[in-house]
Amino acid sequence: MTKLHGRSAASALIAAGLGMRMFWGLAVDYPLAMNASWICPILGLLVFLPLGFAIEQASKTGSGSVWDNLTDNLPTFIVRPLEGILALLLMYDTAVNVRLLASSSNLIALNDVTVHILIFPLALAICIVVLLGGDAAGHSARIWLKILPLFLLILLIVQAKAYRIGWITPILGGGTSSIIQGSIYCAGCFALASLTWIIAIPDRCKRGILLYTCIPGLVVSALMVVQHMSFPAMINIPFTRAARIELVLSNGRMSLSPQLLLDILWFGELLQLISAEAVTAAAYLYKCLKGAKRWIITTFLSFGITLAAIFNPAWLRESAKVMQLVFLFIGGLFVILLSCAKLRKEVNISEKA
Amino acid sequence: MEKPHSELIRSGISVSLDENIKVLQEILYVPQNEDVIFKEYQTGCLKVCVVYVEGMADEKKIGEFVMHALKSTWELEDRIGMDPKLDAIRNYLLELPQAKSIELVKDAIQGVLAGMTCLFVDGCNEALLLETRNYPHRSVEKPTNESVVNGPHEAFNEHIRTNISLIRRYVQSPELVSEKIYVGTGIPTQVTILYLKGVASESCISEVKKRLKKIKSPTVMGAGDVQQFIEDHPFAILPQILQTERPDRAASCIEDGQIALLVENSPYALIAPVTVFHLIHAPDDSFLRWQYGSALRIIRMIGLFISLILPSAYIALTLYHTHLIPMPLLTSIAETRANVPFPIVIEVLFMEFSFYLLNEAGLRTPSQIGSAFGIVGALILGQTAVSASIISPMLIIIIALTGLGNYVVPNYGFGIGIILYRLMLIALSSMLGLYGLMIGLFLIITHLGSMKSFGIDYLAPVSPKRRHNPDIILRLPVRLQRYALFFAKRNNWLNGEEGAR
Repeated sequence: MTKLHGRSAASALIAAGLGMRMFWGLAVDYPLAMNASWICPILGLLVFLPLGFAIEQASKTGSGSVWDNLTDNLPTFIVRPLEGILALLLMYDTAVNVRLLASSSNLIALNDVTVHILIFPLALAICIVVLLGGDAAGHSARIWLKILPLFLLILLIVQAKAYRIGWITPILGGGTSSIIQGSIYCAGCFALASLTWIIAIPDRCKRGILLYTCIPGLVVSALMVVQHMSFPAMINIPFTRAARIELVLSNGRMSLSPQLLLDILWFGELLQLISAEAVTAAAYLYKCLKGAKRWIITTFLSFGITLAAIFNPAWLRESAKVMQLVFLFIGGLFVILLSCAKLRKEVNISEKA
Repeated sequence: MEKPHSELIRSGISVSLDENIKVLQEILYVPQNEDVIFKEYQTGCLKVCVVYVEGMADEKKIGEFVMHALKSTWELEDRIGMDPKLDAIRNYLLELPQAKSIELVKDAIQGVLAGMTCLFVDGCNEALLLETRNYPHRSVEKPTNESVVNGPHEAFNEHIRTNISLIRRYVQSPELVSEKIYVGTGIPTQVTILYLKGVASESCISEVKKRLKKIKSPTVMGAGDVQQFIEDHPFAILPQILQTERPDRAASCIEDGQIALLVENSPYALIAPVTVFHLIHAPDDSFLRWQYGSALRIIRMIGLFISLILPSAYIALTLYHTHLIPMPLLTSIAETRANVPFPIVIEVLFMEFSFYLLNEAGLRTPSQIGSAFGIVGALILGQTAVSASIISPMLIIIIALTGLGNYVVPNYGFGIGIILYRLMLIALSSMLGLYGLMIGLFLIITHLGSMKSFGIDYLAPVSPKRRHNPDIILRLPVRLQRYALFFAKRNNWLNGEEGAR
């Protein structure tokens, strides 16, 4: 069993990874909202809130993890495939992130090295992180969260003179339809991050998932406002993902002085996101393949992610569409599991009566 | 293969004095071992023999308080009929405060070799082990590795009893417990566990004892060996036990609920459990006002950070990310490197290893010729290497800053760990630039996050978050430091119910 014991570790993993997932997702995967994309995390959070409350309630129904509480009395032939599907979903998104990180390092400096080669060090890192366990990744994320605000603050202060409030207009950017779709995308990010909380075993951490999702959501929204104030709204959105990544990394029309700090933040946040998703995927895989040895899980996970990232199949590039469906899938699954749990409770009560 | 004379060593003490002398002489290789003294004599109604090792036991004490006292057996004769012989000797004749009866040859051998005197009496199947230890040892001197500007200037020495008394002087509490354990299956070494009863966590104490008892090595040479045997992650680069030569620091740790281990012949105390922050703190911090202590800690943290990443960041930026360097600096670097024939990585590694060589040679050289190393370092490796275009002047600044940063790390083992991490980061950044450097740093922190010291998370109380005093990086006023350390026993007698001092 991977050691994703404490919610204290899970909370840090969510807080460190979720913001980045939404930030790059809205900039690269879903740029249609344009300079109104800062609204999407807030609306996405509102969409996610019912699911968040449901998770909070489910965590109080037993002493184990939310997942254990909900699937306690369900037959194994239903639970195991579900765990497998969730693990695959997380592996898919990890592969998307791995590809993005390797591509960005290729764009920033390592132009003479192919993206495929750049994926290997990440595969090794994933392997090591999964072997070290979820708690270790969570502790690392918490340290990163201590450094992150300082870096962000320096960055904002250095660039403060160049921001123009006028550039966040028109407020509705690409239109309400694109904002709504962006919000569903963000709700998918929230739902995917909540999988870490769902599988984590409770510990002394008293606060709930809502806090750890609300804060990154609001911070990302604020950062997007700042980002949009650094360059005028783009009418022609670059067609390729690579061009869009380059656009994000070029830091708008700012001078290059804080570029190093930006690159450090970009790499650091993406690494935290990848580790969060990888250890969560490992936790679901451990549940799905009960009794499997640690090296089998680690090998399967690292190989799966690496192969998907290297070959970059068409379905990997459809992450925007997948993420929009994620919320519906996880939300729907949760509603079904909650209903089953409630039904079971009622049956138990009537049996006792 | 079994230890020589193991059968004899395990046997009990015989009633016959001659038999006992024969057994001990065989085990201790007498007469080959000329420093093992057997003094046999008849006094009144008693036939006795004292056994001790010359130089380890105080012969003056033996003569005055044992042999001289035994000559007045007439005092004893009327009591011998009432008491057992040995008890009568101990109670009415000997003038030594510490004497205990033993029944096994093993205990006699262990005591004699430790400097005690063993008194055998004919007709008794017990012997008396008398406290006469007085072997040569260093006096209490100034600390050499943990010197402070303010604060006490005394350090542990190789004499374990002196070390225990130094700690007892700081912690004058009946709750201070010192438990003795012998480790090493062949040649046993004494280890003393010191802790504050009711403050140190019981589970931690039992874990320390368990690990000490698990040591199956035939010999344990000192604190370094014990540390390696009992730490949680023997393959990890950073130490998980703190070594200190300062009794005041050991005492402060004991008061915080940590456990101190003193090992015979080691001028260091081992402190467990510890977090990475304990290894960064210096004894000076607590003797200075909080403002100065905090400022010094920030300087130390920056030094540590520079030491860890500066060479690798230099490589990454100059090899792969030249666009991130401001133009005047880039031009300056390019100009100074114009005549250097080697790649930056070779240049950095050359300077790094030169620095390590100087450092190591400086440590092992007699102090009289130590100044020569300054000349070698400054002239040959600095000026001459630059004039010969082997290295660039910019790199000398980088390596000098890195070296200085490494010296501010207060823990020697931690400093060496940082050097090893630095070499790893240099390798990664030379291959992958900033991308490699970030992956390396991420893996280092994640690995530290997975580590534990006697069940305590290595990065706590920051990650995972635990209740703590404002004494991690900034050291705020002492009056705000109200809590016991998070791994001390909750609601302990020292810190009150809520942990408030």
